Amino acid sequence: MICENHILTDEQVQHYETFGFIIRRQVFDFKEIERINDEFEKHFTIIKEGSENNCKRMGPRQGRDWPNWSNLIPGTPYMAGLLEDPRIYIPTEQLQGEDTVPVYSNANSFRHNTAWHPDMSQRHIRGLKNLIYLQPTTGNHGSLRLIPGSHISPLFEELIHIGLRPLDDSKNGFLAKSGMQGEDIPAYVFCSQPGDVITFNMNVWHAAFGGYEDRRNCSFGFYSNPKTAQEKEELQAQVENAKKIKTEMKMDLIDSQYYHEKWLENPKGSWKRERWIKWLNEWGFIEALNS
Amino acid sequence: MIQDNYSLSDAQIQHFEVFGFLVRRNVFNLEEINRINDEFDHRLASLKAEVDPREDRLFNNWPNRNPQTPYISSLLEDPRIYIPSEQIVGEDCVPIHSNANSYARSSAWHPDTKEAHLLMVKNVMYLQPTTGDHGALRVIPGSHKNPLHENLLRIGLDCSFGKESLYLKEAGLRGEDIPSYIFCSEPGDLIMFNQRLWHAAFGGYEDRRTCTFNFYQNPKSLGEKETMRKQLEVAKEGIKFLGTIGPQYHPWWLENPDENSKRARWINWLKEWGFVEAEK
Repeated sequence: MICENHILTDEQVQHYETFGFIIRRQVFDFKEIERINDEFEKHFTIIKEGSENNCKRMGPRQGRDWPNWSNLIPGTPYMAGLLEDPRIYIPTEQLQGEDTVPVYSNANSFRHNTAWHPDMSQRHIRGLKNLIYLQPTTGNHGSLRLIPGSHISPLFEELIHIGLRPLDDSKNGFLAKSGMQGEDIPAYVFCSQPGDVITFNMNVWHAAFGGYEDRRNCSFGFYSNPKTAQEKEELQAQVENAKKIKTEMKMDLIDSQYYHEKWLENPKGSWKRERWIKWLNEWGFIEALNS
Repeated sequence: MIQDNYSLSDAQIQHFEVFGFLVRRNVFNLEEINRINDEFDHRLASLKAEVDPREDRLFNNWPNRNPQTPYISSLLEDPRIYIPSEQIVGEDCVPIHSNANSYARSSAWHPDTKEAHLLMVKNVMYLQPTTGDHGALRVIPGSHKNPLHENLLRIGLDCSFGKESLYLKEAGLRGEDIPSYIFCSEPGDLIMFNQRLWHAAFGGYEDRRTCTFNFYQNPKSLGEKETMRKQLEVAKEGIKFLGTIGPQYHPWWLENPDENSKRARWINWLKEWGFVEAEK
C-alpha cells in the first residue's frame, strides 16, 4: 500500500476523504518500534518517579487521568524527530496541504478505555492525527474504533445530537438511554501491530475499549493552515483549547515546556521546522502551551 | 434490548435513524430456529429437484409465502417482525418481499436501493452462526444517508448485479478491507436495515442461509408514488437476475384463510399497486 516515496495513492487519498481515515501497515519496522518503546520507557520511568514524589508531597493529582507528555523534548530525540520523518509528514501534507503544521506530538500511556468522541468540533479548519500504537491491539484489547464517515455531516452532528458524548454525567447520554455499552456502537475496529500507522481526520468519532494499564501510543496532530476568516476564527478557538489542555489536563511535562527550547532552537536548521515554529509562534500555540 | 411488547425503544429508533440499522439479539429461540431450518431444508431439497442443475444461477432463493414453508411464511405476521417494521417505516407499510436465500459465496459491497424518496427496510435473520470471516453481514454505518451513500457510489465501490468494484481494483484492496461494522450473529438474532445502507458479507460458503423480510413505506407524495412504480420494474428484474423460484405471493397465501385483517390490507395494497401481477 505505501509507496517507497511515502506518497499516498489517489485511492488512499479517496479512502481518507470518504471514510475519514487511512491505515498504513508496517510503516515502522521492529527496530524502530523498539527504539520508540525504549525512549518511551525511559521517560515514563522519570515521570512515574516524579509523580510518586509529588503524590507524597501534594496528594493524588487532579485532571487528566493518564500520563502523557510532549515528544518534543531532548529525552526522546528519536520520537521528537518523527514529525520530520517523511512517513509522517508527506502523507499528512498530501491530505491537508503542504502548509499544514504539527501542533501536537504526544506520548500517551493510557490506563483505561477511551470513550466515544471526536478530537475536534470545528468544521472548517482541518485537523489530522497520526497514531502509532506501540503494542498489538485487538477489539477487546485497546484497539482504536472509528465510525467510518463520521467526519462528514450529517453523521458528525447526529452523533452529538443523540448524546454519544454526553456533556455531563447525566443519564441523557445515548449509551445510558439505550442500555448499550461503548463497545456496542457500530464501528470499524482497527486491529493493529506495532509499526502500523492510522491517520484520521480529527472530526472522526473514535474510541478504544478493552483498556489496560500502560496502553501506549504516540500521536502527531496537524492543523491545516487557515485561509478563510471562518477557518482563522476556528484556529483561534484551538489556541484557546490548547491553553485548557495545558492548565486543566495536566500534561506530564516535568520541568520542561511543551515545545522544548532545544526543539525550538532547531539546531540542524531544518527549513520545515523553521516554518512550523514561525507559524506556531504567530498563532500563539507556543505561548499557549509553553507559558 | 427487546421489550415484551416488541416495540422498539426511542433509543433503538434513534440508532436505526442515525446508523441505518438496528441489531436485536435472541429474538427467536432455538426451537423456532430449528423449525425454520427444517422448513428451509425441505424447500431447498424440493427446489433442487425443480431446477436444471446445469442452469447458471447466482444462488438458490425462493419466496417464503408458499404452502411448503408455512411457519416461515407466517413470520411476516409475527409481532417481532412487523411491529418494529411498522414503527420504523409507518403503520401502513407493506411487506413486499419475504425470501429465503441459500448463498454459495460472499456478497460484494452494494446498497439494495439507491432511491432516497421511499423508505425500504429489510429484516434479515441468519440461520447459522456468523463471524467476520464466516459470512457475517458487514454494514457501513450511516451510509444510508448522503453524502456518504453517494460518495461510495462515486468512488466506485458498487458491485451490484455482479459488477466488479473499480475502487477495490484500483486501490488493490479486498472487500474485507473496507471499514465497516461486522454483525457477528447467532441464529435468533435479527438485523433490520435501511435498504440504502451499504452492506456485504465475506467468508461465504455453500448454503449460507438467511430469511429476509422487506417492508416498504406506503407512498404519499408524487415522488414517493413514482419511486414505488419504479420498484415494480426493479422487482421484475430482480427475479430474473437472482433466479428466484416460485411466486412471491402464492395463491395459498393470498387466500388468507384465517382472514387476518393485516394480511387482507397488505393483499389489497399489493394488488392495487400491481405487485401481485408482476411477481407471479
